[in-house]
Amino acid sequence: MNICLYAPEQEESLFIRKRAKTWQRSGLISENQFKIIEERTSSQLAETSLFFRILYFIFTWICLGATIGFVAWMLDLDNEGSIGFLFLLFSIPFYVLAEYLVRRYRVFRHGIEEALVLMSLALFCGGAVMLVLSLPGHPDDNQMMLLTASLVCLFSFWLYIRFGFLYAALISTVALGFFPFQFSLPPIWERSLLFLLLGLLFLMSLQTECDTLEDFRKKRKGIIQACLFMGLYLTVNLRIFTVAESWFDQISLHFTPYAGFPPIFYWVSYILTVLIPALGLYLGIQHRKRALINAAGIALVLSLATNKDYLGLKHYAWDPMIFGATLILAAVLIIHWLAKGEDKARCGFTTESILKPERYGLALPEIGAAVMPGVTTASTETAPVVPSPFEGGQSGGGGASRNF
Amino acid sequence: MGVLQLLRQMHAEGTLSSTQLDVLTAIHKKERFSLHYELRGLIYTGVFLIILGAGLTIRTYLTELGHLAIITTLSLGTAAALGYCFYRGQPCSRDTVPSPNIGFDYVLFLGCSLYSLDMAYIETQFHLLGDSWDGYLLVSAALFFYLAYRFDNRLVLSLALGTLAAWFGFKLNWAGFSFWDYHRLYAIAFGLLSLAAGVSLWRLGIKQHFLDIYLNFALHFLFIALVSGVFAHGLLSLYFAGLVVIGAVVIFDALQRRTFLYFLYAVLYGYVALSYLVIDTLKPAYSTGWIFAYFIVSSLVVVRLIMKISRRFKEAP
Repeated sequence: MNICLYAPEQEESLFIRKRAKTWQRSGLISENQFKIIEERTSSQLAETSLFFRILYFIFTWICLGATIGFVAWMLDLDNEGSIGFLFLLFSIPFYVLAEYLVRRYRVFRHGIEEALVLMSLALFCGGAVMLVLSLPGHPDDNQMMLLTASLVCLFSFWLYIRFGFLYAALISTVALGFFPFQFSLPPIWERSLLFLLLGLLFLMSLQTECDTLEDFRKKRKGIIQACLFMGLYLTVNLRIFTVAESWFDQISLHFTPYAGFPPIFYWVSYILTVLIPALGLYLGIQHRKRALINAAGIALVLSLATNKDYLGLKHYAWDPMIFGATLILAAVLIIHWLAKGEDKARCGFTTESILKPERYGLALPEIGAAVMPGVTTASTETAPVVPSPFEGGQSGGGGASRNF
Repeated sequence: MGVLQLLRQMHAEGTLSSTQLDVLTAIHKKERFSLHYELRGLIYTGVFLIILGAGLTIRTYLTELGHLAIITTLSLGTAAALGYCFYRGQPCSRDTVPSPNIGFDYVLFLGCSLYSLDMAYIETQFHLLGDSWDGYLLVSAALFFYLAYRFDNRLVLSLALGTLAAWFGFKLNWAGFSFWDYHRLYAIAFGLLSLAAGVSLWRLGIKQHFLDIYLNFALHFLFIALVSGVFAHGLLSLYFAGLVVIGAVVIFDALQRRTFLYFLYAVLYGYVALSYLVIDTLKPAYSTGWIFAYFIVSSLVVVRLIMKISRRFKEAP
């Protein structure tokens, strides 16, 4: 049974079109061949460009927010219960309107329906929580958090299966991640439970994959698996949230031995920070999953970055330099190794640029380059001026004084 | 119908050659899997960390290392990186020049960043240029522009424009992020200069693919300066007139060239300025309800207009 508002054939057609566009951009097919593919993959869905989608989303969101504000102002609502009720009330027509737009106009990732369902999600969950809070003798903070997380998790999961929004699946997983922290368990149990939960989802996702699955579903699953994988990694790395402080302020982490966890748990987590990225890389390479390879690569870099913190070693200012040089060296070795293979590839892996990505004006590395002058100027401006050994009479000869 | 099925069908009909079928099948089945962008990302991260580490080391161990060691190391690093680029780089061309290898662009970027760090250090420590200390930024920007065009490097062009912006007085300092009139006029001057340079070079057919970088810099500086001018001086100011003119030109050009990113910029900045003016006018005389009503009506009008434009231009995703 297909719960999704879009037929799998329609989504597959859109997937093929996107692929064909990338092939055309990369010079693998001609304009005429692209047109043939376009003709044969009519999905009957109304798509829009990324920038129009963003504009539709922003302005629909403004309109919906202002509408609620206007009604709340008209009714002069000022207590949690009534506002919560209003939120709940509005969440229904917003959701219904989103479904209507998809059914009637066949809009697909248009921004408007996305703003409607996300506003509906926020209003439904926020409204329910506010209503509960307005009740006399309402539950404690942990129970409220559990209620919020449950509602967000269920609603966003529904949005994922109904509309196919990937970010809804991500929101649902993040909300699920809050569960173990609401039972006042010891931190070791909280982490273990979360690890089990995410691990189970990751395994389930791997298990439900098969060759007959449509390409668009495979791609979607790949991204979800990568997100779950990152979640798993962030759960086991106990030093991840202090990495920026320890690298750039050179703070010694000895004052929190074992990051506040039992030593055995700490060292197991240390081993896992190496094993999990390795496993991710293995699975990604084995099944050619780009999102998983990228996630595992990032996790591996983070493991290297937190290695000193784990071992309780002192950080030095030149650590980023050595780390950067190591990354470049690793990249160069991989490039040379792959280039020496037959047809400049090994097991199909190559460093050649095959598919050109779409350009949206300014890419992230270029933004990084643009802020670089600020970084270099700041790092030297704060450097203290070294006093000359001849200044102030410090190296004066016998009998010389500062005020000679 | 799946991708492979479609490709086979096209091949059977004769609309897709056997070579194309083989290549596309191998790519789709991931028998040919490129790690190009992953490796580029790794090198870029490495370069960024090296520059960050160099800056941190200088700041922390300045007294232990001494001027000579720091300046010599940075200068040697710069010379080695730039020397490599001149040795391995392709001849200069007005069009796109492919990099000789994956790491080439980043070696040039590293060389430029080390040079920048070296110059900043020398000027901070020795004050060679005295009151005109920021002259080194102008010289650096000129050098980066030359290198960006010589080696066809978008990263270095961004660095050049960022350095030029720093010469105009813009720094990354969130604590004091405000737009005084002084800054506003400089931002407009920088924006117009970048815009003029980008458009002129594009018209001359020199590295036309660089236009987007110029436009991104120019438009953000111009729009931020003009919107902040509208905030400060209101409707009856040259800033508002400037915003209307620039916004209209950008929208017209974006739709003509189908570069919808700039359309997005113009609509968003324009809406922010207009909303500020309306709220500022409504606030003293009218209730909160009018402000909500304004947002409802205005956002619906914008959505409707975008729909019309979208349909008219049949914009493709």
